[in-house]
Amino acid sequence: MMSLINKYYLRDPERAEARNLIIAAQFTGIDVLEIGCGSAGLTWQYAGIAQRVFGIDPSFPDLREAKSSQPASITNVSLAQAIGEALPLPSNTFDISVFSSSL
Amino acid sequence: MVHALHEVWRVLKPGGIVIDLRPICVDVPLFILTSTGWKSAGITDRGPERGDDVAANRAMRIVVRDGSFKRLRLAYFNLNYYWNDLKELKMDVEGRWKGDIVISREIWRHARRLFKNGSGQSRIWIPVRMKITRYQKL
Repeated sequence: MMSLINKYYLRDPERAEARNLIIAAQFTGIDVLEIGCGSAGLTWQYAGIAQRVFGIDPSFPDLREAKSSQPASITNVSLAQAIGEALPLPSNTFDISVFSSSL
Repeated sequence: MVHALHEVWRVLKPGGIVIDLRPICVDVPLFILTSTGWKSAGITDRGPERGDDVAANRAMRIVVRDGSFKRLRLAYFNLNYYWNDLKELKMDVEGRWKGDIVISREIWRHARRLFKNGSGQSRIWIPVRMKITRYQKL
């Protein structure tokens, strides 16, 4: 699991965001599209229980940071630079789509 | 936003779920934590972000009204941010949170006073109220 601590501040050390998302989404064994995944801090916290996760974000630097922080144990996540208005994905593919502070 | 929601509708399987997770742009308290408890320095202003929140609510209302989705469940929780000192918080307010949150001079002054009274063990705490809403594709 990646560290939630950056240089000087703590964001959600209680992991309330991931905990509440997992309760609401019931990720177990399903295919997830995350829109606005950013540097994937939240993605890495739930990806282990999903079948497959596809994360998109318009920011290339954020996606690069996401890839560099990917835990070795998480192998079911794909990341791509894209926007929600033009998803480079086929129809009828995902069980859940998550807007993580991105709507 | 409505266009993005229609794109999501397209890529979801029948009966698929949308989770809308985001902060509520209400005014958020700034607390100083010390070894003996916490004290409020005042209420920060998240007004600059409110326009985005209103637009997102409007987009969801449109796709519910046009029969693309139905709302299933709404829940709230707090997402906590902590800083070790006020200089670090100021860097964020003027940097990556610029335009999202406004902290008045009076609150900064009050926070500095409370922070000093914490005898070197103070931290800053901002609890942001989040909402998480579950919708189903129709």
